[in-house]
Amino acid sequence: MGSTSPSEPAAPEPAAPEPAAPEPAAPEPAPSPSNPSSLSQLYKPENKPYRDVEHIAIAIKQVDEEQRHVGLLYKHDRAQNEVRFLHLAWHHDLRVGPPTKALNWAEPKVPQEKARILARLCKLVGEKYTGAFGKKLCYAVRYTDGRFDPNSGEFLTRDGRGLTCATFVMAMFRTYEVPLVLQDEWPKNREGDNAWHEKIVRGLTEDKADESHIEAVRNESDCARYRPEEVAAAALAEGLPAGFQFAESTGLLIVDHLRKGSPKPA
Amino acid sequence: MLFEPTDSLFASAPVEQAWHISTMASPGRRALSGQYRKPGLELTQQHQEIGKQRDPLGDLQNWLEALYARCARGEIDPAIDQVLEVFEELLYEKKFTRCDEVLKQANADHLPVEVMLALLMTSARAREFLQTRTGFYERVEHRLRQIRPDRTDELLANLR
Repeated sequence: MGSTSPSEPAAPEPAAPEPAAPEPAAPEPAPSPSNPSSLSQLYKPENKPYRDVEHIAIAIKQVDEEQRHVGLLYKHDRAQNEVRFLHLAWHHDLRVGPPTKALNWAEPKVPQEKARILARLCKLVGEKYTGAFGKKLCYAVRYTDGRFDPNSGEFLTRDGRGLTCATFVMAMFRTYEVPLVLQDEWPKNREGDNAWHEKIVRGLTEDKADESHIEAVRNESDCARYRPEEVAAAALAEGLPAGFQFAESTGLLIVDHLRKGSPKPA
Repeated sequence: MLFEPTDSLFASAPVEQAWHISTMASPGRRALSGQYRKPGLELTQQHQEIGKQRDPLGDLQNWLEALYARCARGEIDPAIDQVLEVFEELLYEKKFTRCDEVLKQANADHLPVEVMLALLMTSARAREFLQTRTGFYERVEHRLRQIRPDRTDELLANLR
Protein backbone atom coordinates (compact mmCIF):
# COMPACT_ATOMS: atom_id res chain seq x y z
CA MET A 1 0.00 0.00 0.00
CA GLY A 2 2.91 2.23 -0.62
CA SER A 3 0.69 4.67 -2.44
CA THR A 4 -0.61 6.17 0.75
CA SER A 5 2.31 5.80 3.06
CA PRO A 6 4.67 8.50 4.13
CA SER A 7 8.11 7.06 3.70
CA GLU A 8 10.61 9.53 5.02
CA PRO A 9 12.34 10.48 7.20
CA ALA A 10 14.08 7.48 8.59
CA ALA A 11 14.46 6.75 12.21
CA PRO A 12 18.01 7.39 13.37
CA GLU A 13 20.28 4.63 12.28
CA PRO A 14 22.11 2.89 15.11
CA ALA A 15 25.81 3.41 14.62
CA ALA A 16 26.86 0.01 15.85
CA PRO A 17 28.77 -1.93 13.21
CA GLU A 18 27.12 -4.96 11.89
CA PRO A 19 28.89 -8.23 11.26
CA ALA A 20 29.77 -8.01 7.61
CA ALA A 21 29.66 -11.67 6.83
CA PRO A 22 26.50 -13.58 7.61
CA GLU A 23 26.53 -17.22 6.63
CA PRO A 24 26.28 -17.47 2.88
CA ALA A 25 23.26 -19.20 1.52
CA ALA A 26 21.74 -19.67 -1.85
CA PRO A 27 20.35 -16.37 -3.16
CA GLU A 28 16.67 -16.34 -2.50
CA PRO A 29 14.31 -15.04 -5.12
CA ALA A 30 11.99 -12.64 -3.37
CA PRO A 31 8.43 -13.93 -3.20
CA SER A 32 5.73 -12.09 -5.03
CA PRO A 33 2.45 -13.62 -6.07
CA SER A 34 2.00 -11.35 -9.05
CA ASN A 35 5.50 -11.34 -10.43
CA PRO A 36 7.77 -13.94 -8.90
CA SER A 37 10.85 -13.04 -10.91
CA SER A 38 10.80 -9.26 -10.74
CA LEU A 39 12.43 -9.07 -7.32
CA SER A 40 14.90 -11.87 -7.86
CA GLN A 41 17.77 -9.40 -7.81
CA LEU A 42 16.68 -7.69 -4.61
CA TYR A 43 18.88 -9.31 -1.98
CA LYS A 44 18.76 -9.64 1.75
CA PRO A 45 22.08 -9.67 3.59
CA GLU A 46 21.46 -13.14 4.95
CA ASN A 47 21.12 -14.42 1.40
CA LYS A 48 23.76 -12.32 -0.26
CA PRO A 49 26.11 -10.39 2.06
CA TYR A 50 26.76 -6.72 1.59
CA ARG A 51 30.39 -7.43 0.78
CA ASP A 52 29.16 -8.83 -2.53
CA VAL A 53 28.29 -5.32 -3.67
CA GLU A 54 30.65 -4.92 -6.59
CA HIS A 55 30.63 -1.12 -6.69
CA ILE A 56 27.34 0.52 -5.79
CA ALA A 57 23.84 -0.63 -4.87
CA ILE A 58 20.58 0.92 -3.83
CA ALA A 59 19.45 -0.28 -0.42
CA ILE A 60 16.02 0.00 1.15
CA LYS A 61 14.58 -0.93 4.48
CA GLN A 62 11.26 -0.86 6.26
CA VAL A 63 11.41 1.61 9.13
CA ASP A 64 7.90 0.95 10.37
CA GLU A 65 4.60 -0.18 8.90
CA GLU A 66 4.15 2.99 6.86
CA GLN A 67 7.69 4.17 6.41
CA ARG A 68 10.61 3.11 4.28
CA HIS A 69 14.09 4.50 3.87
CA VAL A 70 16.50 4.28 0.95
CA GLY A 71 20.21 4.91 0.59
CA LEU A 72 23.35 3.73 -1.14
CA LEU A 73 25.64 0.82 -0.41
CA TYR A 74 29.05 1.31 -1.89
CA LYS A 75 32.44 -0.35 -1.90
CA HIS A 76 34.43 1.90 0.36
CA ASP A 77 37.66 -0.06 0.44
CA ARG A 78 38.31 -2.71 -2.15
CA ALA A 79 41.35 -4.20 -0.42
CA GLN A 80 39.43 -4.67 2.84
CA ASN A 81 36.24 -5.54 0.96
CA GLU A 82 34.51 -2.92 3.07
CA VAL A 83 31.03 -1.76 2.13
CA ARG A 84 29.39 1.31 3.66
CA PHE A 85 25.88 2.73 3.72
CA LEU A 86 25.44 6.38 2.72
CA HIS A 87 22.02 7.90 3.29
CA LEU A 88 20.24 11.13 4.04
CA ALA A 89 18.55 10.32 7.34
CA TRP A 90 16.99 13.72 7.93
CA HIS A 91 17.53 17.46 7.70
CA HIS A 92 21.27 18.19 7.90
CA ASP A 93 21.82 14.56 8.76
CA LEU A 94 23.70 12.72 6.05
CA ARG A 95 25.17 9.54 7.45
CA VAL A 96 27.73 7.04 6.39
CA GLY A 97 28.83 3.89 8.14
CA PRO A 98 28.60 0.14 8.25
CA PRO A 99 25.25 -1.08 6.94
CA THR A 100 22.70 -2.39 9.38
CA LYS A 101 21.24 -5.78 8.75
CA ALA A 102 17.76 -4.71 7.75
CA LEU A 103 18.68 -3.51 4.27
CA ASN A 104 17.51 -5.13 1.08
CA TRP A 105 19.73 -4.20 -1.82
CA ALA A 106 20.04 -4.34 -5.58
CA GLU A 107 22.66 -3.19 -8.03
CA PRO A 108 21.41 -0.92 -10.81
CA LYS A 109 22.30 -1.84 -14.37
CA VAL A 110 25.08 0.65 -14.85
CA PRO A 111 28.29 -0.11 -16.78
CA GLN A 112 30.82 -1.39 -14.26
CA GLU A 113 33.26 1.39 -15.08
CA LYS A 114 30.66 4.02 -14.25
CA ALA A 115 29.44 2.16 -11.18
CA ARG A 116 32.98 2.20 -9.85
CA ILE A 117 33.17 5.98 -10.27
CA LEU A 118 29.81 6.44 -8.57
CA ALA A 119 31.09 4.41 -5.63
CA ARG A 120 34.07 6.75 -5.33
CA LEU A 121 31.69 9.71 -5.43
CA CYS A 122 29.83 8.14 -2.50
CA LYS A 123 33.10 7.90 -0.60
CA LEU A 124 33.90 11.53 -1.33
CA VAL A 125 30.45 12.78 -0.37
CA GLY A 126 30.53 10.64 2.76
CA GLU A 127 33.73 12.37 3.79
CA LYS A 128 32.70 15.86 2.75
CA TYR A 129 29.13 16.09 3.94
CA THR A 130 29.11 14.05 7.12
CA GLY A 131 30.50 14.69 10.57
CA ALA A 132 30.44 17.74 12.79
CA PHE A 133 32.45 19.87 10.37
CA GLY A 134 30.94 18.55 7.17
CA LYS A 135 28.80 20.61 4.84
CA LYS A 136 25.12 20.25 5.51
CA LEU A 137 22.46 18.78 3.28
CA CYS A 138 18.98 20.19 3.71
CA TYR A 139 15.92 18.01 3.73
CA ALA A 140 13.10 19.11 1.45
CA VAL A 141 10.47 17.79 -0.87
CA ARG A 142 10.64 19.25 -4.35
CA TYR A 143 13.10 17.70 -6.77
CA THR A 144 13.60 18.71 -10.34
CA ASP A 145 17.26 18.55 -11.14
CA GLY A 146 19.13 17.99 -7.95
CA ARG A 147 22.85 17.63 -8.20
CA PHE A 148 25.96 19.39 -7.07
CA ASP A 149 25.58 22.87 -8.43
CA PRO A 150 28.92 24.31 -9.50
CA ASN A 151 27.53 27.82 -9.20
CA SER A 152 26.52 27.55 -5.59
CA GLY A 153 28.81 24.71 -4.69
CA GLU A 154 25.87 23.18 -2.86
CA PHE A 155 24.21 19.86 -3.32
CA LEU A 156 20.74 21.25 -3.67
CA THR A 157 17.96 21.29 -6.18
CA ARG A 158 17.71 24.29 -8.45
CA ASP A 159 14.24 25.37 -7.44
CA GLY A 160 13.93 23.32 -4.29
CA ARG A 161 15.59 23.58 -0.94
CA GLY A 162 17.09 20.19 -0.49
CA LEU A 163 16.56 16.50 -0.90
CA THR A 164 14.75 13.56 0.61
CA CYS A 165 16.37 10.21 1.18
CA ALA A 166 15.02 9.11 -2.20
CA THR A 167 15.98 12.21 -4.17
CA PHE A 168 19.40 12.15 -2.54
CA VAL A 169 19.97 8.76 -4.17
CA MET A 170 18.64 10.10 -7.47
CA ALA A 171 20.84 13.17 -7.24
CA MET A 172 23.97 11.15 -6.60
CA PHE A 173 23.47 9.31 -9.87
CA ARG A 174 22.22 12.39 -11.70
CA THR A 175 25.28 14.38 -10.69
CA TYR A 176 27.38 12.09 -12.79
CA GLU A 177 24.90 11.85 -15.64
CA VAL A 178 23.40 8.49 -14.80
CA PRO A 179 19.70 9.28 -14.45
CA LEU A 180 17.87 6.62 -12.45
CA VAL A 181 14.30 7.50 -13.42
CA LEU A 182 12.41 9.35 -16.12
CA GLN A 183 11.42 12.30 -13.97
CA ASP A 184 9.02 13.78 -16.51
CA GLU A 185 6.75 10.77 -16.06
CA TRP A 186 6.26 11.25 -12.31
CA PRO A 187 2.79 12.54 -11.46
CA LYS A 188 2.13 15.24 -8.90
CA ASN A 189 -0.16 15.06 -5.92
CA ARG A 190 -0.71 11.33 -5.68
CA GLU A 191 -2.82 9.92 -2.90
CA GLY A 192 -0.91 10.10 0.35
CA ASP A 193 1.51 12.79 -0.80
CA ASN A 194 -0.21 15.56 1.14
CA ALA A 195 -0.16 13.60 4.38
CA TRP A 196 3.52 12.85 3.85
CA HIS A 197 4.26 16.47 3.05
CA GLU A 198 2.53 17.62 6.22
CA LYS A 199 4.48 15.07 8.19
CA ILE A 200 7.77 16.42 6.82
CA VAL A 201 6.84 20.02 7.66
CA ARG A 202 5.77 18.93 11.13
CA GLY A 203 9.04 17.10 11.65
CA LEU A 204 11.11 20.07 10.55
CA THR A 205 9.13 22.32 12.85
CA GLU A 206 9.58 19.99 15.81
CA ASP A 207 13.29 19.83 15.08
CA LYS A 208 13.44 23.62 15.06
CA ALA A 209 14.85 23.85 11.57
CA ASP A 210 15.47 27.28 10.13
CA GLU A 211 12.16 29.12 9.80
CA SER A 212 12.77 30.15 6.20
CA HIS A 213 13.55 26.55 5.30
CA ILE A 214 10.36 25.30 6.92
CA GLU A 215 8.37 27.91 5.05
CA ALA A 216 10.00 26.96 1.75
CA VAL A 217 9.25 23.27 2.31
CA ARG A 218 5.68 24.14 3.31
CA ASN A 219 5.26 25.75 -0.11
CA GLU A 220 6.54 22.67 -1.91
CA SER A 221 3.28 20.78 -1.71
CA ASP A 222 2.53 20.88 -5.44
CA CYS A 223 5.31 18.66 -6.73
CA ALA A 224 6.11 15.13 -7.77
CA ARG A 225 7.15 12.84 -5.00
CA TYR A 226 9.66 10.08 -5.64
CA ARG A 227 9.07 7.35 -3.12
CA PRO A 228 11.90 5.31 -1.64
CA GLU A 229 10.54 2.06 -3.04
CA GLU A 230 10.25 3.59 -6.52
CA VAL A 231 13.86 4.72 -6.49
CA ALA A 232 14.89 1.29 -5.22
CA ALA A 233 12.84 -0.23 -8.04
CA ALA A 234 15.03 1.57 -10.57
CA ALA A 235 17.85 -0.71 -9.48
CA LEU A 236 15.79 -3.65 -10.75
CA ALA A 237 15.05 -2.14 -14.15
CA GLU A 238 16.63 -3.78 -17.17
CA GLY A 239 17.76 -0.40 -18.41
CA LEU A 240 18.07 3.09 -16.98
CA PRO A 241 16.38 5.45 -16.62
CA ALA A 242 13.35 3.59 -15.29
CA GLY A 243 9.88 4.75 -16.23
CA PHE A 244 7.15 5.59 -13.74
CA GLN A 245 4.95 2.63 -14.56
CA PHE A 246 7.73 0.14 -13.88
CA ALA A 247 8.96 1.97 -10.79
CA GLU A 248 5.51 2.28 -9.25
CA SER A 249 4.45 -1.33 -9.84
CA THR A 250 7.81 -2.75 -8.79
CA GLY A 251 7.86 -0.36 -5.85
CA LEU A 252 4.60 -1.85 -4.61
CA LEU A 253 6.11 -5.32 -4.84
CA ILE A 254 9.10 -4.12 -2.84
CA VAL A 255 6.83 -2.69 -0.14
CA ASP A 256 5.00 -5.98 0.06
CA HIS A 257 8.29 -7.85 0.19
CA LEU A 258 9.68 -5.64 2.94
CA ARG A 259 6.55 -5.96 5.05
CA LYS A 260 6.66 -9.71 4.81
CA GLY A 261 10.31 -9.64 5.86
CA SER A 262 9.76 -7.29 8.79
CA PRO A 263 8.91 -8.98 12.06
CA LYS A 264 5.81 -7.52 13.60
CA PRO A 265 6.20 -5.99 17.03
CA ALA A 266 4.85 -8.16 19.82
CA MET B 1 74.96 52.30 25.85
CA LEU B 2 71.59 51.06 26.90
CA PHE B 3 68.66 53.23 26.12
CA GLU B 4 66.95 54.57 29.16
CA PRO B 5 63.49 55.90 28.48
CA THR B 6 62.96 59.22 29.99
CA ASP B 7 59.76 60.80 31.07
CA SER B 8 60.34 63.62 28.67
CA LEU B 9 60.67 61.30 25.66
CA PHE B 10 57.45 59.40 26.29
CA ALA B 11 55.64 62.41 27.50
CA SER B 12 56.31 64.12 24.21
CA ALA B 13 54.83 61.35 22.04
CA PRO B 14 51.24 60.20 22.01
CA VAL B 15 50.72 56.60 23.11
CA GLU B 16 50.11 55.27 19.61
CA GLN B 17 53.34 56.87 18.43
CA ALA B 18 55.44 55.66 21.33
CA TRP B 19 56.84 52.83 19.20
CA HIS B 20 57.76 55.10 16.35
CA ILE B 21 60.84 56.28 18.14
CA SER B 22 63.71 56.45 15.70
CA THR B 23 66.46 53.88 15.88
CA MET B 24 68.87 56.72 16.35
CA ALA B 25 67.15 57.59 19.57
CA SER B 26 66.65 53.96 20.43
CA PRO B 27 69.60 51.73 19.51
CA GLY B 28 67.83 48.67 20.90
CA ARG B 29 65.24 48.95 18.16
CA ARG B 30 67.85 48.59 15.43
CA ALA B 31 67.62 44.84 15.80
CA LEU B 32 64.03 44.94 14.66
CA SER B 33 64.91 46.71 11.45
CA GLY B 34 67.96 44.59 10.75
CA GLN B 35 68.56 41.20 12.26
CA TYR B 36 64.91 40.09 12.48
CA ARG B 37 63.58 41.90 9.47
CA LYS B 38 63.68 38.99 7.03
CA PRO B 39 62.13 36.31 9.27
CA GLY B 40 59.62 38.90 10.43
CA LEU B 41 58.54 39.58 6.88
CA GLU B 42 58.34 35.84 6.11
CA LEU B 43 56.14 35.33 9.14
CA THR B 44 53.90 38.16 8.03
CA GLN B 45 53.60 36.66 4.57
CA GLN B 46 52.72 33.27 6.02
CA HIS B 47 50.00 34.87 8.09
CA GLN B 48 48.66 36.60 5.03
CA GLU B 49 48.38 33.22 3.29
CA ILE B 50 46.19 31.86 6.07
CA GLY B 51 42.57 32.11 5.04
CA LYS B 52 43.33 32.23 1.34
CA GLN B 53 41.87 29.40 -0.77
CA ARG B 54 44.60 26.97 -1.64
CA ASP B 55 44.80 25.59 -5.15
CA PRO B 56 43.70 21.95 -4.88
CA LEU B 57 45.44 21.15 -8.15
CA GLY B 58 48.87 22.59 -7.42
CA ASP B 59 51.37 22.09 -10.19
CA LEU B 60 49.48 20.61 -13.13
CA GLN B 61 52.35 18.58 -14.55
CA ASN B 62 53.11 17.04 -11.17
CA TRP B 63 49.45 16.29 -10.68
CA LEU B 64 49.19 14.59 -14.05
CA GLU B 65 52.40 12.63 -13.50
CA ALA B 66 51.03 11.36 -10.19
CA LEU B 67 47.81 10.37 -11.94
CA TYR B 68 49.60 8.55 -14.77
CA ALA B 69 51.81 6.76 -12.24
CA ARG B 70 48.82 5.54 -10.28
CA CYS B 71 47.18 4.33 -13.45
CA ALA B 72 50.35 2.57 -14.56
CA ARG B 73 50.49 0.76 -11.22
CA GLY B 74 46.88 -0.33 -11.63
CA GLU B 75 45.70 1.78 -8.68
CA ILE B 76 42.38 2.61 -10.25
CA ASP B 77 40.41 3.62 -7.15
CA PRO B 78 43.11 6.03 -5.90
CA ALA B 79 43.37 7.48 -9.41
CA ILE B 80 39.61 8.06 -9.54
CA ASP B 81 39.77 9.59 -6.06
CA GLN B 82 42.50 11.95 -7.22
CA VAL B 83 40.34 13.13 -10.11
CA LEU B 84 37.11 13.50 -8.15
CA GLU B 85 38.65 15.25 -5.15
CA VAL B 86 40.33 17.89 -7.29
CA PHE B 87 37.44 18.46 -9.67
CA GLU B 88 34.80 18.66 -6.95
CA GLU B 89 36.95 21.21 -5.18
CA LEU B 90 37.70 23.21 -8.32
CA LEU B 91 34.04 23.25 -9.32
CA TYR B 92 33.03 24.25 -5.81
CA GLU B 93 35.40 27.20 -6.04
CA LYS B 94 34.31 27.90 -9.64
CA LYS B 95 37.87 27.56 -10.89
CA PHE B 96 36.77 26.53 -14.34
CA THR B 97 40.01 27.66 -15.94
CA ARG B 98 41.95 25.16 -13.85
CA CYS B 99 39.52 22.41 -14.87
CA ASP B 100 40.07 23.43 -18.47
CA GLU B 101 43.84 23.15 -18.03
CA VAL B 102 43.49 19.57 -16.79
CA LEU B 103 41.16 18.56 -19.59
CA LYS B 104 43.40 20.16 -22.17
CA GLN B 105 46.57 18.49 -20.92
CA ALA B 106 45.26 15.07 -19.89
CA ASN B 107 46.49 12.36 -22.22
CA ALA B 108 43.75 9.81 -22.78
CA ASP B 109 46.32 7.28 -23.99
CA HIS B 110 47.80 7.15 -20.49
CA LEU B 111 44.50 6.66 -18.71
CA PRO B 112 42.37 3.57 -18.16
CA VAL B 113 38.71 3.70 -19.10
CA GLU B 114 37.54 4.39 -15.55
CA VAL B 115 39.75 7.45 -15.15
CA MET B 116 38.83 8.86 -18.55
CA LEU B 117 35.18 8.48 -17.64
CA ALA B 118 35.78 9.97 -14.19
CA LEU B 119 37.10 13.14 -15.82
CA LEU B 120 34.07 13.31 -18.09
CA MET B 121 31.51 12.44 -15.42
CA THR B 122 32.76 14.84 -12.78
CA SER B 123 33.02 17.71 -15.26
CA ALA B 124 29.73 17.02 -17.05
CA ARG B 125 27.52 19.31 -14.99
CA ALA B 126 29.84 22.24 -15.64
CA ARG B 127 30.17 21.51 -19.35
CA GLU B 128 28.76 24.90 -20.34
CA PHE B 129 31.57 26.63 -18.44
CA LEU B 130 34.39 24.44 -19.72
CA GLN B 131 35.95 25.23 -23.06
CA THR B 132 38.35 22.31 -23.40
CA ARG B 133 35.96 19.57 -22.32
CA THR B 134 34.64 18.93 -25.82
CA GLY B 135 38.18 18.34 -27.06
CA PHE B 136 38.84 15.91 -24.23
CA TYR B 137 35.56 14.13 -24.92
CA GLU B 138 36.58 13.65 -28.54
CA ARG B 139 39.96 12.26 -27.56
CA VAL B 140 38.28 9.83 -25.17
CA GLU B 141 35.77 8.81 -27.79
CA HIS B 142 38.56 8.20 -30.28
CA ARG B 143 40.42 6.07 -27.75
CA LEU B 144 37.34 4.10 -26.72
CA ARG B 145 36.54 3.34 -30.35
CA GLN B 146 39.97 1.67 -30.46
CA ILE B 147 39.90 -0.25 -27.18
CA ARG B 148 36.15 -0.74 -26.48
CA PRO B 149 34.53 -0.41 -29.89
CA ASP B 150 31.43 -2.39 -28.93
CA ARG B 151 30.79 -0.39 -25.74
CA THR B 152 31.82 3.12 -26.66
CA ASP B 153 28.30 4.48 -27.01
CA GLU B 154 27.17 2.82 -23.78
CA LEU B 155 30.11 4.22 -21.85
CA LEU B 156 29.74 7.72 -23.22
CA ALA B 157 25.96 7.94 -22.80
CA ASN B 158 24.92 11.39 -21.51
CA LEU B 159 28.53 12.54 -21.26
CA ARG B 160 28.96 14.66 -24.39
